[in-house]
Amino acid sequence: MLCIVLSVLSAAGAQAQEKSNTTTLSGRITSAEGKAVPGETPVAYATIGLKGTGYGAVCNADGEFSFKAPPGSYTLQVSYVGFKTYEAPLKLTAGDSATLKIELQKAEINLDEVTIRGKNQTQQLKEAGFNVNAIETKAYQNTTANLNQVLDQTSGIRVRQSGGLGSNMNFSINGLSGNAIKYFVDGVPIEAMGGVMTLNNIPVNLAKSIEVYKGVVPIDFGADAMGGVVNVVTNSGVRNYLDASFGTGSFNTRQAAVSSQYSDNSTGFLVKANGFLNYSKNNYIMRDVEMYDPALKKYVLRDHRRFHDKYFSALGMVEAGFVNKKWADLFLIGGSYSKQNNDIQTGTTQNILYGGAERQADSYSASVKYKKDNLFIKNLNANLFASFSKNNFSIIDTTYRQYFWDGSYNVTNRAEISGGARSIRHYARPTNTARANLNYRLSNAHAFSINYQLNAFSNDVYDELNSNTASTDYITKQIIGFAYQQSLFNDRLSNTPFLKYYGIKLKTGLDVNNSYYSPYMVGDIANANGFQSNWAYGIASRFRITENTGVKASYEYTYRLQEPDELLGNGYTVMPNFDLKPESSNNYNLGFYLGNSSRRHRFFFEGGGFLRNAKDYIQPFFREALGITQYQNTASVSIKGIEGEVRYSFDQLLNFSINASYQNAVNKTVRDGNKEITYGFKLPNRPWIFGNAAANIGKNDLLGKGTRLQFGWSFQYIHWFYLTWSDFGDPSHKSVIPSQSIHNLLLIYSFKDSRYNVSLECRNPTNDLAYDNFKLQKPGRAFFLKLRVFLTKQS
Amino acid sequence: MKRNIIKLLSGLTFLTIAAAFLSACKDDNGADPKVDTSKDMFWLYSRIGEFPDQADLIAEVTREDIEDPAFTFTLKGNGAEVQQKITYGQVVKDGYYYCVSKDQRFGKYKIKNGQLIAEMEVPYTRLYNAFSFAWKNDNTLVIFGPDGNGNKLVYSEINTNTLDMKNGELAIPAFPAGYDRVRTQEAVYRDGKIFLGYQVYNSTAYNVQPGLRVLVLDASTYQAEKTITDSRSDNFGDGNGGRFQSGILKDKSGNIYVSASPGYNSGNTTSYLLRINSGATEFDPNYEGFKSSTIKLSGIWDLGNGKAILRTDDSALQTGGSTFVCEHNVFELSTGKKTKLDIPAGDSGSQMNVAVDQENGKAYIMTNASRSVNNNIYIYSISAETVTKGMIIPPGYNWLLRLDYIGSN
Repeated sequence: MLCIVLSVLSAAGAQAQEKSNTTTLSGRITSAEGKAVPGETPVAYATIGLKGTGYGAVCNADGEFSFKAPPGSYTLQVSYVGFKTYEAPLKLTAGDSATLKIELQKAEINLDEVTIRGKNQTQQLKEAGFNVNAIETKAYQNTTANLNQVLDQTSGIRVRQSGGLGSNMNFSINGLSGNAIKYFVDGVPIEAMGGVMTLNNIPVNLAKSIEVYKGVVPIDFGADAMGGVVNVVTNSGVRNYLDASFGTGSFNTRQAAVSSQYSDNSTGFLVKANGFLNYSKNNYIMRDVEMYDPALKKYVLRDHRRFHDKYFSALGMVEAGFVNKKWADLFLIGGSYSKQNNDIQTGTTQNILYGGAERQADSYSASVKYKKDNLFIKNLNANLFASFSKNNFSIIDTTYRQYFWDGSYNVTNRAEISGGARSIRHYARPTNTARANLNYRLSNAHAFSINYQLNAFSNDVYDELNSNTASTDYITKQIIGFAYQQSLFNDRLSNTPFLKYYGIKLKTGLDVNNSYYSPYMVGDIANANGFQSNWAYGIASRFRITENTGVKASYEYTYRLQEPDELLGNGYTVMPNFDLKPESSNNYNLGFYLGNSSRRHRFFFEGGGFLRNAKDYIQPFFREALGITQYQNTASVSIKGIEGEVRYSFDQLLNFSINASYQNAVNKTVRDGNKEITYGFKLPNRPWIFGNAAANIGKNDLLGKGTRLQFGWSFQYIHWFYLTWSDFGDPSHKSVIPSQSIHNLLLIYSFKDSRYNVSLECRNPTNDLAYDNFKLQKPGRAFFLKLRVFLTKQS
Repeated sequence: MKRNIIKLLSGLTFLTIAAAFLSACKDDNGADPKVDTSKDMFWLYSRIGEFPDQADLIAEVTREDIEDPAFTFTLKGNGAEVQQKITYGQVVKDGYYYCVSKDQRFGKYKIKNGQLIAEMEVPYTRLYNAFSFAWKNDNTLVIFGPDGNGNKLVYSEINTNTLDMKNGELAIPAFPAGYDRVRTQEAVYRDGKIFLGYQVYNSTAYNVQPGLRVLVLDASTYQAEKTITDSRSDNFGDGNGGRFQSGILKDKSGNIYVSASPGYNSGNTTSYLLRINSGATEFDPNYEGFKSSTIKLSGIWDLGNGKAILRTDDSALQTGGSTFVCEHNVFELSTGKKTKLDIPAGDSGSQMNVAVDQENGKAYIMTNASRSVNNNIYIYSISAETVTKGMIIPPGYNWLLRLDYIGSN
């Protein structure tokens, strides 16, 4: 009935055994069914622990686990839905480092039986006090999706793109977007990885999961993230694996990704190598674009392919070091290089067309990571990171032509984008990042954290063809967070109050004595060049009503700090504003969740509402008559919204999810005590009702042992919205971004227990016209084929 | 019990979503106050919202409404959205706007029934805008400006019935040492000649070459017959070319009145109203209709009777950081006599806020004098020399950018 294989495979080095007073247990849990085929079927997200103690862990998607416990005699307990609970005595001695290999046997089918309520890590995160979307990427691993496409299917989040692969995107969380959103990889700012790495080019295979914190952000992310944080979580197990994939499809698209890791348990040596490559011509058909017909002497509507929208991006990243050493649980040194080239096809509307302009970027980075639990004293855990990166990008605008959609052009006397002289404008941003996170658990009920983050970078701008236009600014941001985690009533109630300190120091290369600036300078330069500090605070709470049901609430008063070019200008077209304040917001979240799991059925609902009262938006103010721009604290906005998500799965056969979001952003701008005419009206050009649905049906062993055939469907609906203020202007002629209903279909065939995977994907099979931004069309129907190999071996 | 809770919550979720959709649909029901466009018409160009949510709207307003002090202007359910296509630097003539559009075309546009209608358009990038222009005759518009590199002046002569064009380059004197860019200012046609102001400047320090420079062009060949210079000031009319303000006036006798103001860092500090007399191709050294080193000229509009509306910006009116420094005066061109009109001081800036209907003897002055109480259109009667209040513009419309008299449209 119950087959247990427990083997202690190796012990760690003798030195570690002598001095360590805890034992590290790691290993892997597999299904007994896997014995019949080469390799093993992992049991994902099983719960493993020492019965009657707080020591334990939840396995990852590959059945791996790792946790520490002090010496002693215990009962090891492993449980997971659909399997019989495993229990066995276990004796741990000081300094041991044990690797366990556990096989679980399936339980007999009994529909009425409620067995185990195992929760994976993302589920646990959803049940924390913070308002967070936690997305397992496992379901997307065989698609050609990038991370933004995955996130776009979750509640409260909208990713607006101006075109195909690699095109400009705007990411919003509960209605706040732009610089108010900050991006992280494993808790480290994404800029530290090199500037080429963005959500619209990171393949889904490089991420294990993605966390999106909405409005209220834990201190671990030392960021002025007023709207929220996206954190990409990569694989962190100690297993050896190779995950390689190649995809090809419509519009000459090619995508490749490699994620791999090798570790040696005897020495603790670990090396990780990740990389990706994206290429697409993006030459999809633009429908009903305006073409000038000289014979008719007017513009007529035609269909034409895009002809200047090639996109290429590539990244390589290597990390090497040691794990599970006496002096470090993890120590890694890494480096990366990335490159990106893309043609620029259109301006703000598709009538503004370019045929020669390009954007080029490259970046490199070096980093060091260090983690140690029980540093100096028991329950004091440290997590340190430091990096240097240099991000360069250039805008090349040297073509004196006016292009048309059929690819023809007229020779002109001015550059395409600027309308002025030829320019090759370079931006360089060397960045230093350091982060120290300390966590001390006083008891199961009380823990304290402190997080320090330093970002120091300079912003060098110059034009290769016009030496007059150069500026260099320096900015240092220091963010310190303090948090207290309280767990009461047997963890039914948890509270996390926190305090954040934002320090910003700027130094400008601007010549303030240049009297050209003087008519436009606002405030005292000492305000900008001095040290500015701001305090933010918040609390996140959760009350568990039953095991799987709870309410959560969170609040934060938070900031988005000024960027150097906003405060200091760019030295020639953007004038400084030394009195510019940071953006600030009061963010409130209230949520409810409810889950239920029987042995074969799983159900989860979460829903909630939010309120954002953001003020002092920093926005460029263009003085048309003077031809200059100046950033000002202009608008204030109040955003209210509700969102909900329901998920259901039946065994491994079927799963279904649906979510919907409603956001109402209202202008609250008051200038000099006076309300604008648009005060109290809904902000334009923002999707405000949107939702997603997805369903997958799959069957194991249908085409042979170890195979799985799965069919998936997903759907996105975005309700129509006005381009400009809804109540203003003649309603019969207002510009509208129409409702969009886009489907995607996916067929996956896996064999050899998911080692080899082939998928066929059809995006937008109904070939509906889609555009997020005004008349900037996105691709129509597209097909993709992806081959993926996933090899793994327990080291 | 649990299943009931689940059912209840699922139901509530979908009800909430449905409610959200229903509330969304309410937004479809906007008011639809159509304007009777068969009447005498004005176009009022306004900007609402803050970047990136700015919207430019042009409302059609009848003479009846604009003269009615009880009528309140609104853009709610009213006005044509134009910001995707044009900005507020227009050439306006006979019920049409002419301009270089935002999507790289030269077009002939009009506003009709709450919609911007492109009557004709052709691809165009030769000039970035049509701010410097002159009407050679009723159907021939000439626009001027620098090329992309900023070191040559080019022009396009446009048949406004067909938008057929003749393009060329203008010869200008070589740049003196220390200057490397050129731009155009206002232009005016008179008797087969076009007077085009231009300015030379340094692209790094932005300082301008001191003095006025005016090309006198043969309007057939575009050859420069001569270059007029004058050291008293630097800008020939509006420094930006004339479509954000009106800085030049040609009277019925052919005298050209020019508001001349100092350019950046030229050493000049005084603003003037100067004159090129009828038949002459020189500034009249004896005419200084206006002269001040503290008050700036910011617009001049011909009333057709030897007088003009003269707009002045007086920084002395500025109190507590206010930008309301702009006054309107009736100005006697020959004598320089200036009479301030009883209109609240308006916002400074570059608004085309005066529309003159000489035929009916009225000037319409749109002010933006308060952010907290109602503003008005003021109507100046040319014959009675009186000012009456017209249409109310409620507070909150902070960007009143153009008022154009169109006539029957």
